[in-house]
Amino acid sequence: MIPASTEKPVPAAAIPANAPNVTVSKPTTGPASKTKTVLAGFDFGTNKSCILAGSAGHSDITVSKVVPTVVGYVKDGIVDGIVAGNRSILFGEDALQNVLHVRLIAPMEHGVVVNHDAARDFLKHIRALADPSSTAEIRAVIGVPANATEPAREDMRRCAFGIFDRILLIPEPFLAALGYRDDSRLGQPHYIDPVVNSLFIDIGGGTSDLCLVQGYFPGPDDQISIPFAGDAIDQLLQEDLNRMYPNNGLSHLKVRELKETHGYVGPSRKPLDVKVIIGGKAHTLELGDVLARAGNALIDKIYPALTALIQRASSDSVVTLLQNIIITGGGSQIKGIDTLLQKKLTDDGFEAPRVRVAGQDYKRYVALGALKAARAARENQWQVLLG
Amino acid sequence: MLRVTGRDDEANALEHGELAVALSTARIDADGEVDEAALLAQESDRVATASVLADLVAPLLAERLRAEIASLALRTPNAAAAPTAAPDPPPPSPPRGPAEAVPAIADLIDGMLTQQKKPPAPRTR
Repeated sequence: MIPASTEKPVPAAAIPANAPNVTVSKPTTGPASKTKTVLAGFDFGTNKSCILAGSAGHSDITVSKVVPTVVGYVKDGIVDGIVAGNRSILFGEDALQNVLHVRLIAPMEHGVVVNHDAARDFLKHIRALADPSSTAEIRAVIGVPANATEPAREDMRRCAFGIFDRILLIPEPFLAALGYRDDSRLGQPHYIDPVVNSLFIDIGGGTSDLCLVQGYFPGPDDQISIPFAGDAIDQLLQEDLNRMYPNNGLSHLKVRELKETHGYVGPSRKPLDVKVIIGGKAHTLELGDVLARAGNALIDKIYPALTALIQRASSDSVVTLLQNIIITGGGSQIKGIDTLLQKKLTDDGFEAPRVRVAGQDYKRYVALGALKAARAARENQWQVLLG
Repeated sequence: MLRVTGRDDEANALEHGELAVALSTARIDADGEVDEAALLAQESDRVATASVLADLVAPLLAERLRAEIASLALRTPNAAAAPTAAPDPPPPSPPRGPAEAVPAIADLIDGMLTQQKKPPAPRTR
């Protein structure tokens, strides 16, 4: 249950004296003219984004959407009526469903903005989802990759200027721990609060972020961000498929779908026959080795980072920490990933490790943690984007 | 104080041992002029208040101490002359154990904002 907030709207010009990182940009509509405040938690993922929002002062979540992070600019010459509403820009699923009629742009890569205009268009769409009336002041906590550089953070602020009235950028794995925490079980004898002592592995599309979460805000040495995640697995898979089946004609979206349906880690499982339609004809591809190679490449990257962070924990906390290793993000759906990481830790002599996946709600944990942070943030912690 | 910190056995031993002796002596000396129950209640309130204050302040103090330690670690002595050998890498910062009590989310955000204001510490990985 997300605690109610006592946030009140304040005039745009009232920048608290101790407000950090204030960028000079002017919102187009001052919050003084806005009728209410909406708090939003936003996971701006490389492949999928999630927005959760609710009115300040209320505990309800009134908006909960997962949106593929893609913008589709409708091509010139498309006949009226082909695109619903004759819109010129489509977002998320709409863009993907109209892939033949749009120029698809992914605004993010490895968790950072790579196309500024597309990112702003996407954020405007997100804002409209959070506040369809366009009359509210929007305060958004936005997840960023662990150890995101200051230029990357500044890019995010510039994209958000004029769209969100106030923002706060917080590392994603920490938000995942906050979101994963079951507030109704705090204080129960056998409940290990993930914010007190856990290690989160957030495997997204662009980055895999690992983070020690031990009751204080994680510092740079408590977090590792690896620019190898879902997209990199897709690329390996595509390269291998092109080598084995040179004229396969499979799009990167189709390859991603194959990964999401059949992806796994561990020893190769053969035969793994998958039916695909190429050139209008059904073909059966044997993908056991190909999928194993791609998935295990991720393990090869993640495992050294995992052990490095475990070894950073104090001897007093590490035994409990080992019981609380949690995988979230899209990569948590790779079959066998929890079992394999747990086995590797056991084989390497770590004491009774327990690795588990976050569950079916993995798409929402970062956004949920961000919304909790938005509800708890003090007035002087919000960053005002000026112009 | 022993009861507040969960050390009931020790509290019982003290109550029936030293405290009982002390109270007996006090009763004789005071000759019936002291409201013993009110005094004990007053002391009990004082301990309860101190315990609540400690719960509130301890996480904030811990965070401030961590910030101070991190700040001290960043200060290096001025070099008198150019070294002829490569300088030793900075020692890794000591591992931190989990916080005794989890601070409020807003306090955690304060910790994040404090970190962002400081120049990054040298990475030892």
